[in-house]
Amino acid sequence: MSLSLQYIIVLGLYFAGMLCLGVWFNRRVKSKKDYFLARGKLGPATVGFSFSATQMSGSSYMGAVGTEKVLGYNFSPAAVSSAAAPWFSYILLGSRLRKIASRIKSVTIVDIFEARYYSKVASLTCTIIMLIAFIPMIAAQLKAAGNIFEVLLGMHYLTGLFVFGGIVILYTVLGGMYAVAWTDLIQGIIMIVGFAILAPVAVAAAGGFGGMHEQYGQLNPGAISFTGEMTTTWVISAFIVWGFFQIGGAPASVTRFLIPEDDKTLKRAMVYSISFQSFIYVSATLVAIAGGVLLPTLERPDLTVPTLVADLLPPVVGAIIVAAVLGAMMSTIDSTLLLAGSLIVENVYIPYVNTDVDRAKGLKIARIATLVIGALGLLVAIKPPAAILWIVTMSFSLMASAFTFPFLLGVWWPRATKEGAIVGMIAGALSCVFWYVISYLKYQTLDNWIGGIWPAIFGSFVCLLLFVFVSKLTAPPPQEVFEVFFGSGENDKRADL
Amino acid sequence: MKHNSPEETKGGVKLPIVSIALMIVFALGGSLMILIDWPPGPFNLDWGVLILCYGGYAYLIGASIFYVKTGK
Repeated sequence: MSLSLQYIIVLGLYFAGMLCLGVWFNRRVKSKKDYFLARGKLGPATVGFSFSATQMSGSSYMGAVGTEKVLGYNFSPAAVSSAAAPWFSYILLGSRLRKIASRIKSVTIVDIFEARYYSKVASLTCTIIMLIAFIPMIAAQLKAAGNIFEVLLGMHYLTGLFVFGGIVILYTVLGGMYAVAWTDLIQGIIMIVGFAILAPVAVAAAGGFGGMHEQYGQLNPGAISFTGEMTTTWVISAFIVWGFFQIGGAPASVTRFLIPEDDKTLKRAMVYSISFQSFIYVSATLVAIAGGVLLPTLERPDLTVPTLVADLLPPVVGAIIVAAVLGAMMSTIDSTLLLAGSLIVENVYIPYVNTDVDRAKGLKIARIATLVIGALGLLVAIKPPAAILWIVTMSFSLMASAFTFPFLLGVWWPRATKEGAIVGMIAGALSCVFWYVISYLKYQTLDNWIGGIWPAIFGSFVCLLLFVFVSKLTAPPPQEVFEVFFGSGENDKRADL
Repeated sequence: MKHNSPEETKGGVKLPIVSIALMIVFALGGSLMILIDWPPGPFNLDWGVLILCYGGYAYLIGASIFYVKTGK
């Protein structure tokens, strides 16, 4: 049996399983709230894995491992910090968001934004920034998957793209959040199995833990410690951005905080998320360093994992790891797709186009919106324009700059006003783009920035400064906002902003 | 809509002080560790890399379990 055929059989079974889940959960979805949120219907493991699988994406296996292969321990603090992202997000935002979401019966994160900042302009700004970032993100993940099919299976790019994209879109459209969260859980388990196999095999092949580092240090003397390849400010900025700033940079993950009905589920979900991400990132570090030793001349570092798989593992095991890589991409696409669909329906269509939407019609519109966004992502991925690369590269930093402090201050600082939030979001996003542009003009690359300061840090700093300044200058929020967001909870039932 | 002083309705919000302190230790401590020139340690790595890039995960898991148990 040929190598490609073995891969195709394993991946075919995997995809069939994902589709079956979509069909299965299709029967449980009764309303658009079920479809977008499945509130109270998912346990801590499902919520925790779904949060993390969404946050990590295919880039953890491809781009991040490739970057770490080249930059070594200059990049590893960012990997540790990535595992800390759920810790920051759940404790600083999740617990408060969950309570508020159940008080105001919100479906999307933007609903909470609109209630907190008592302004349709604030929610519309938030929606627009997210949608600008989401469609290219979906397209980029689809494109990466198409490339994997092309490189590993010898399939035509468009065939791989449409098979992979069609399956993700179909199970998301059919099963909504139920299917997304459960497939995320399964994909997460496959990711763990994949790295649990690959990491020890790669380290052993590279000479064992100590021997591998000795060789890596000889090949990459600037990458065996914290600095050398990159400056100290770059390494520290990466350490801060990859952890703390995921609060605003990953809204599709943050949506998971709206699912649990009790705090215990959310807290237990956090432990699942952190343990899962810790395992993935420590394994990714080991695989990356081993890759630096075993594949020192590999031209495309983002192909480190697939190349190691092909070199070190039997085809069936390799196919499981490829399934894990594709699963990481799937879990990011499905969650982003669902969030984008919910934003279109809940925050654009219903408030501005047709306010009279019953239960059945709402569910139908939700499915159509998800399908349309998925199709748009596929169309863009057929031949992505050059500008897409810019948007994809910037999308995380853009959202981190625009949303981290408006989210945080919104739930912790009663004095935060709508004017402060709107000015902060717009200024944060624009400053981030500005930082990318002037750094690009200086270095001719999207990966190095003036003074080693990451755009998310510069943008967020500008956002925070203007947010606080404008909030102090404008009238405090209305009493109703204080009661819902900062009250003792006595008004939970009546609060409906 | 009626306006009111923020302080009047602050009672329902409680900061998880210990976890926030642990987060500050992680962020500031990690940043400071990156600044230091560490002596060589076992496995051909320096001590800073071993502590932050491998021990850091244990700190995170421990801190998250602490929050689940205490809520602080």
